[in-house]
Amino acid sequence: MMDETLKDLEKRWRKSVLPLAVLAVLGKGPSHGYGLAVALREVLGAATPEGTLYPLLNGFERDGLAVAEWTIPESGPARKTYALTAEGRAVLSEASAQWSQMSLNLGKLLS
Amino acid sequence: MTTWTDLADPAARAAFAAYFARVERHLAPLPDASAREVREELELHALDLLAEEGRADAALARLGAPEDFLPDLVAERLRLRASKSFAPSHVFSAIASSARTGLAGIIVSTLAGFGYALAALAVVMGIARLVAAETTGLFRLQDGRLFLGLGENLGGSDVLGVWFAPLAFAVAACLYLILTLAFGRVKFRKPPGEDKANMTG
Repeated sequence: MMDETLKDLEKRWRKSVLPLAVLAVLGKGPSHGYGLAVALREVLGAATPEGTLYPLLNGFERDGLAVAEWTIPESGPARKTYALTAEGRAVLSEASAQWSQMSLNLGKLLS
Repeated sequence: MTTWTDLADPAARAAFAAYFARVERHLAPLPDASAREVREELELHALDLLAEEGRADAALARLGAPEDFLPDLVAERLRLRASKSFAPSHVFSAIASSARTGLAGIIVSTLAGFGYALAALAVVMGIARLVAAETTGLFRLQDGRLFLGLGENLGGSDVLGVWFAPLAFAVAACLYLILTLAFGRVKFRKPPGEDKANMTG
């Protein structure tokens, strides 16, 4: 019972930080969907089906936080690559500060 | 390999074919170029997952059920298209598609539909006024109450006179423009991963 509750809690917070995590990965540099999923898996584990990244990325594009373009890598097929816009970077910066503050406060509460 | 149709394993090819048939069904309301873009992106992702997992069913499970993530994406693209083109057919597609994205989508689509119905009613009243001025318009009745008439004459004085039809058309146009712009920008995506199936990890 406790294990299930813990798993559920972990799953919930991993999902809730997904948008920030996607922005953070894109903040390191442009990426395509699969590359993003791999980077996110390293940080969050396989928290959600990877297809759910696409509505999120579509929303970022719509809101002007990211732009997408098809790029041709040195090898392999053309890929749709996402990059943060200046607005996306500003949102990431602000959200990171909020996250740090919240994490600090929660840390105090938990200690 | 750039497409799943090149897969050597017949079972993997069949699994991909079944999966992407479902993808196609969901992408059908989108314009061809937009649908192709989404499909190609998902195909490449699925092939990368296949290379990683080695099994088609595991790879496609990692990507998730199209039913869980495509309706939101499609509805959002259709709403944005409608808010840019203002074409009634695009508005209709956007409403129909959004209504299939869950409770919030149904509520927003219903409200939008009600608003568009009001706009249509204003157009009808404007036309009716041009055809039958004596029964359509804003009338002040003998007891002082205002009466918005459509095909019914209760007597009284005509308040707006010849301005009724242009005003009705203006109200309809404003309502249509405002609703379409608002509908194109409304956000009611569910949080990522809040799906009914395929939770992994």
